[in-house]
Amino acid sequence: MRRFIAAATLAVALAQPALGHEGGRHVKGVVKALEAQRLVVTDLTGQDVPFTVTPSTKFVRGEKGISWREVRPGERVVVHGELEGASLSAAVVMVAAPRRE
Amino acid sequence: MRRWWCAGVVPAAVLGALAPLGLVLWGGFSARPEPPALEARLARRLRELAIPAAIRDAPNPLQATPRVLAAGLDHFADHCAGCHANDGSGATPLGRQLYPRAPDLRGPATQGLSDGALFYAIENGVRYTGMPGWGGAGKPEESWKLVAFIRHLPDLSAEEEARMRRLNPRGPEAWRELQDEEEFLGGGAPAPAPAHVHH
Repeated sequence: MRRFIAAATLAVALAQPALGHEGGRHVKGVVKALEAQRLVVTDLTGQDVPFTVTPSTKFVRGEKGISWREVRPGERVVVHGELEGASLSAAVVMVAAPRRE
Repeated sequence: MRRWWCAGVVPAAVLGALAPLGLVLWGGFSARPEPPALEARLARRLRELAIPAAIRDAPNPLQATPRVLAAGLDHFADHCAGCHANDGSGATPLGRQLYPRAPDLRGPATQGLSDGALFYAIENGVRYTGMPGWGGAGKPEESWKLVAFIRHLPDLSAEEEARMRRLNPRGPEAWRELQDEEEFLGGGAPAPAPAHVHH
């Protein structure tokens, strides 16, 4: 019985690190290319980061929801992506509000 | 007659009682695999049976007015989104590691529950899952507001989700990251070289 309790305690302890795994990534950059199912962002280091765009991807400019068609290449974005297997899926794409000159 | 009991019924009852223990020992304590469909269905059914009928059949006493939904949204963003995500999908690092996984609250399995069943789960939690019981503070109306907001989740707008992101609890590092992101979007940090941009 003691062995069983020890094994159970060990199993519970070993299971803890799994909670620490993060499954997402935030990317700041400019839009390089955008299609219905694909977004490529050039990040601050100059690297291109591809995202999958899904029907549940939300595009927001300021506090307002927008369509992906309203986003232009060259615009500043912050993308909250989620790892889906080996690729990043865009959950939220925040687009810079138009600047007043 | 007593022989039949000894030979058949008693061993079957003992086996039935030990089966869950056997499942645990066989499957281990890992929370990583998806719960088997049979286990999920049984657990769901047992949960439904465990909710007192008087509460299960109770309708939400609050109307889903803008004020009630706004209060539910604030509360959900602060207390629930860590596991359930702002949009109720359950797609968060915590929600995806729980056993069972945090459910998609927009789906039929949750939306098909009665108002009372949702209220009961919020107030009392769900044993053997990651869902804590939030009741006991003497404020049942807060849970009813959450019920109204959960009903609204399938129609959550991008504006509402943006508001929730600002209300999500976060540590100092995450606050800094949020400020960095807003500064960047406001044009306050250098953008990458435009040479990479093509139309």
